[in-house]
Amino acid sequence: MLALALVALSLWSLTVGASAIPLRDLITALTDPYGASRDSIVLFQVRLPRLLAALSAGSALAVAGAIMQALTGNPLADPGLLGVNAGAAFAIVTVLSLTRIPAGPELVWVGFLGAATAALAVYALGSVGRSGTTPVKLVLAGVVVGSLLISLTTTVLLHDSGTLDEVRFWTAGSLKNRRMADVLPMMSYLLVALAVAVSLASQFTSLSLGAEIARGLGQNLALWRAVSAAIVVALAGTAVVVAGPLGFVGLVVPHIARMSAGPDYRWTIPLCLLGGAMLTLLADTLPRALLDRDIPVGVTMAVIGAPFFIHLARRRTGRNNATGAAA
Amino acid sequence: MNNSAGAILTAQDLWAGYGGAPVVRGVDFAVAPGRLTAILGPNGCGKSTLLRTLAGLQKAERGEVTLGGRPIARMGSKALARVVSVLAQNSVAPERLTVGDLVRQGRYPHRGLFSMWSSSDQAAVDEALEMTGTAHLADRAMETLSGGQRQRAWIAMTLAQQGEILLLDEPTTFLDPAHQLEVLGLIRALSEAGKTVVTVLHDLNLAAEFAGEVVLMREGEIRARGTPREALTEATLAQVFGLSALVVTNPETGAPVCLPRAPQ
Repeated sequence: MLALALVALSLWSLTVGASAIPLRDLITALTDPYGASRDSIVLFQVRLPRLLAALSAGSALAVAGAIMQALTGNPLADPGLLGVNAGAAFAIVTVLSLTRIPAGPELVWVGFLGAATAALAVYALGSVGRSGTTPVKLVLAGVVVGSLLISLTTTVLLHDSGTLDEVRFWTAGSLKNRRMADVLPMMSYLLVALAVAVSLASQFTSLSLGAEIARGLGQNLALWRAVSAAIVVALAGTAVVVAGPLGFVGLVVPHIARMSAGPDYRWTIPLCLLGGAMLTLLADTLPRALLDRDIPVGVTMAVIGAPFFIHLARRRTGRNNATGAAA
Repeated sequence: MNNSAGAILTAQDLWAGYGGAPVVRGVDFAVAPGRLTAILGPNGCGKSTLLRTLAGLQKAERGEVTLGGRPIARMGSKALARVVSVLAQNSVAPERLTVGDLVRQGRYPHRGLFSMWSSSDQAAVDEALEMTGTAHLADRAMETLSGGQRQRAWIAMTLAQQGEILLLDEPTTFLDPAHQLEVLGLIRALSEAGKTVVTVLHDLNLAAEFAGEVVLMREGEIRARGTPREALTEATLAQVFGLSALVVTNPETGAPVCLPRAPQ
């Protein structure tokens, strides 16, 4: 069902843009990848890379968010919120600015490094003190490290107008001007990371029971935390290269997945994979279709995601207070 | 039972804590096999820390915990979890997790990375649900249950591990008296069925009624142990809890009953 909806949505997204391609022409153009028609060029140079970028970044961030929520025991965890995206973005912007190499697929390793360093910094900062790592401390550490990295990224960009033009849209989370040659190599990284995530799904369910219980059940916490963190870094790092530091997908989609299929990660992960792709594609395509404007997907996503975040945060604090006073 | 029958859990000169002053201070303790042991003591006496260290949830600072003669620190986490199962204090299940989901998690230590759900897994889960009387709740979400039902579901999860030794950290705290009796009745039934159970309890009289053996702790040390009749005396209550109490005998069960006197 969801997969069919995703296919339909994908086809629709290909028809929408500065020049509309009616569905009939779309199919003609699709069957003729080397055609010289205008439709065919628009489709294969502009729309299709953009579609693939949206699908990859969306599914990667949603699955990364779901795993982070299991890993940290925190339903508000998200690669954006815990500073992982900001780390990848900062590393990429810095390297672009310092070396002036053209943006290319090699950058993904810079993204991994940045994401991993930020994740380690957040974890280290979040586990300072006697009580060890608690969800709240982890989120605070993520916000602190993330804000710092975003400021640093802005600083680098402001002092380097050349880089600024190139990445200005990208730092807001944008799928514009993706080339097939940039997107395809990223997809191979993503497919590996996503396949690993799907095949280990039941480990994340055990992890989500919390450290004490997981350890009591015999789960090797050090090992599985490291494996989960590595998957998150791979997914988020790649997604940032593809779409910039896109927020909220990793927060919104896992919640909807759990609301519809329960907390078993053998369902959550595949649902996030499809749902993340769908939400991101929708956020990227809707402004083009409705407003006839190309708004960066990060902006649309924030418009959708911020109220959702507030709703979640309020609902949770509401429940915690309910034990003390009737709410 | 299973291949680990007779594996005895012991602590030798065990010291443990949270980085500061040790909370458990030089405890020597052998868990009595096949019995229900209750650990009692005032708040902060180290009873939960002792239980957690016995379960391998916490590292010993000095001394060691051994299972059937092998130090648990050198056992694989799954191998340990196949013999010793533990229920931590105030466990909270993720939202919408059903009782069945939770109990199936108890099979974790028996399953390989990519192994399929086997008929022996299913049999263990069914048996655990059966023994705890939670089979009819299998499809209910944990947060919709009463406190007593929820605690029975957690115990079912530990039973699905099919370990011989069950360690429970304050399983009756926050339950009303009827639910406390419901959970302790289950725990006693499990010990009568051959499980070795160690549980931290707060209520002296419930411990006296249900436990075959009690261990009294104060300031990180074991100050008294034995059957409730031997260990729960006016002298030990004064020494361990600083409590002046009258100890009488329950005319129905013969268990000691502690009646504290208000401080003068």
